[in-house]
Amino acid sequence: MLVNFQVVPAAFVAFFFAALNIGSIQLPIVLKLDSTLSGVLQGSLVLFVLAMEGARRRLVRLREG
Amino acid sequence: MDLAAIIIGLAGVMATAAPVIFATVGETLSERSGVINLSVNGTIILSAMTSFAVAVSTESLFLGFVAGMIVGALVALIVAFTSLTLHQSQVAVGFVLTLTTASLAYFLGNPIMGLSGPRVRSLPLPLLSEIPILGPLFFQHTPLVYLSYLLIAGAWFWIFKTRPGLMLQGVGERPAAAFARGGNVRRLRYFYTILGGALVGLAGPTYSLGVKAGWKGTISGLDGIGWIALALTIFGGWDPLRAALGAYLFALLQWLGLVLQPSLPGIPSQVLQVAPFPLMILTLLLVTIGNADWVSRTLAGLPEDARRLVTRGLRSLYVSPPAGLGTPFEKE
Repeated sequence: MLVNFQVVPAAFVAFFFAALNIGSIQLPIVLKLDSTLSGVLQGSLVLFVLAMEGARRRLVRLREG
Repeated sequence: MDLAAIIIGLAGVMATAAPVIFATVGETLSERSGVINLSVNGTIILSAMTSFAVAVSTESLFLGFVAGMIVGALVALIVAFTSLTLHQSQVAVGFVLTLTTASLAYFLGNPIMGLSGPRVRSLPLPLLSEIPILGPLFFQHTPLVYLSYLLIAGAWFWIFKTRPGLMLQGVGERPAAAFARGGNVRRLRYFYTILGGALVGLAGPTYSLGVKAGWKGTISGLDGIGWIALALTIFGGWDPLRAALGAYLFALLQWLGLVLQPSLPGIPSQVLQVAPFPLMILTLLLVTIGNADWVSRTLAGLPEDARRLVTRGLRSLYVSPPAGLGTPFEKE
């Protein structure tokens, strides 16, 4: 859904989320933050993208009357 | 095992089933209106953490419970807004929310991990608690357990015996028809999703301020309960009574897992602890399998008597979801 059902961008998005997952292990060591923060960031990001996509479609619908 | 120990164990089953009942009835109300709120698991964890934090800081159990319900209602509001207003997939939003809220609970709950806090005390009901066997089994609990009894009966009565309940069924089954009959489909869906979310949110403090008092982060043992509540909603055929039976069955299986452990030393304890979960999956399979084409084809090969018996058995278990579940509704 994030990549609008396209294969090529899916690889980049998967890489991004994989980086977040791996980076979460470093969070407690480097920044003294709990690794669960990574889950919050990932979830919020996906939710935000979904909400923005919905808002964009709604605006387009409203504009078209 | 003597009778007293069995009664104590079964009373524990009634107590541990209470939060599952809150969550299941909440989800039933939400899904009856046509909205799937998949965020139940994370909502329970977040509301458990929030209510414990509020109860510890204010030393008020009441405020703790209110906080838990507000958290549940807010998460449900996000599900309702993104699905009903922004027309995004209810499944995707709910799933993302369950991951986000659980992570948020573990992240924000770090400072209060392991603290001791207030706990809901037992309140044996006068006279009723004196009844032999039944008294200790049903009437020597916390007020939350009594509330779960009332909720089961109240939700069933509301859905099947009142006019607003009939409208709720209509909104979930045939939203267009409900709209034609004067029902405000979107408003009703918002209302029941938020109400259902608040009930799911009540399950959290029932754990952290009652059944499993305290907040222990990822080892709180709450992860997975929300998925069971979702499974029970389906198992119960979107009927609070049947769903509550499923909740008691799940709690009973969990208790049996503990009780049978010493008697079955050959089986690893982990197997008995997780057994209720695959058993619930099997039960779900049983209640939905009756509708599959391949089952009818397989049964056709059986002798007439056996076929009839199996078909009747599967049909008695079979449940069908509200026809409008998960589908958006737009006024023409």
